[in-house]
Amino acid sequence: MNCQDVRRLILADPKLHDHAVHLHLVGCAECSHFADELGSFESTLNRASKVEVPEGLASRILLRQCLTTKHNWRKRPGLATAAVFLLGFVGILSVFFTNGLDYFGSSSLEQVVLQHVNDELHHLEDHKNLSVQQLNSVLKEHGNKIRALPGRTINYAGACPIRNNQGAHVIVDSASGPMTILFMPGEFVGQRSLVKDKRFHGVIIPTEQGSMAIVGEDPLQIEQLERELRVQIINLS
Amino acid sequence: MRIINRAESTFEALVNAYSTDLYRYAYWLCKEVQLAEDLVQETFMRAWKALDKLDKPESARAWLFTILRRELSRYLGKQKMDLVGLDSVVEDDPNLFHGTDLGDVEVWALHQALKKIEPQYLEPLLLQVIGGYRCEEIAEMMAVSKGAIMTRVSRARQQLRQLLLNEPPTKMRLVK
Repeated sequence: MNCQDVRRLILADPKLHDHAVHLHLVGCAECSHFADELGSFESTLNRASKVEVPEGLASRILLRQCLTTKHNWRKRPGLATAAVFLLGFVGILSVFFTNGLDYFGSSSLEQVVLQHVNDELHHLEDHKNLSVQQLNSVLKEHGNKIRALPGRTINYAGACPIRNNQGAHVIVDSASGPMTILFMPGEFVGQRSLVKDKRFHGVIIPTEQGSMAIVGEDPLQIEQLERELRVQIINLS
Repeated sequence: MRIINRAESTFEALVNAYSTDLYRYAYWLCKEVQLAEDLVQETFMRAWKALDKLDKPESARAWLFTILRRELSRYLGKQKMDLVGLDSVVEDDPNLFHGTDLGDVEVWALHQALKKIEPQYLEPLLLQVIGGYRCEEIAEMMAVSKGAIMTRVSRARQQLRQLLLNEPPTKMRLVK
């Protein structure tokens, strides 16, 4: 088996367990390097393919299954009752999500925000000291612009996927440490809401393009930054 | 009564185990959130009605993917999803992966690139990446030769890599 054969095989299936391929990789530094790079690509591909699944999908499937077995209901009145309760529960949930009643625990967007911040904790360590112009070059993709952030250092700004849209991830400093601002176009919310986990506090604010989240460890600093952003961001409703 | 309860329990287990993978597979092939959910719901409804035909639990996953593929074909108005004679693809360059290093910032770019891959290449790749199937299993599901599947998934990876190389993810680039 030559290098070309090996590369064709692992390109078709990077997880291939083949003794001959393994032996070749052990003895061929170039192909081994190729396999490593492909493995890295595969890992990224795996992550990229994992789009967010609509919340409650499994419940809705089970509900529909319940509703399509009407012919059994007479024999099993308990099933009908359960289906009615489940339908009511799904209905109540949908009203909560539609109206943005986010104070009832974590809504899906709240979870997304906190998960995003916790997944990208390394950005809290960034110290790029960006200019407002550099920040705006990222924000302009979403129709936002910041006039100025006096007294603050912009430590990071980058585009990032938030659910099925491209958003922006910004880190600025504060008296109590770094704070995250997430611009989330297409994520419309009815009203301002709070988020919280073991480490972070935050707020989700409606904007013209969707919503924006501010997350940090100190609630007072969040309020302060929110006041500043409401003044400084153009297009913020 | 016991048989019916067991069926419901089995069905619920199937939904919990596979609805996520099936949704992601459907999403990438139709690229619409609502349509993907509708297709997955329809898939499970058909599975529920035919649950007594599932004799081996280990084949449940492939069975559901097969139902979903039929649903996708139905919605997309095609008899088959394999429309192009892919066995005649040009000779590939397996060295395309050399000399690049993908980091976290590339995930979004790859996410975007996936949207540009033609279905005939994308589908077997998704079955491999999301479904976890081997080439011979995909070949059986799609009723084509293993060699054809190997060509398609290789070509899909090369197209993705080429898209990343030709179209740098400018929107994802960090501000320096």
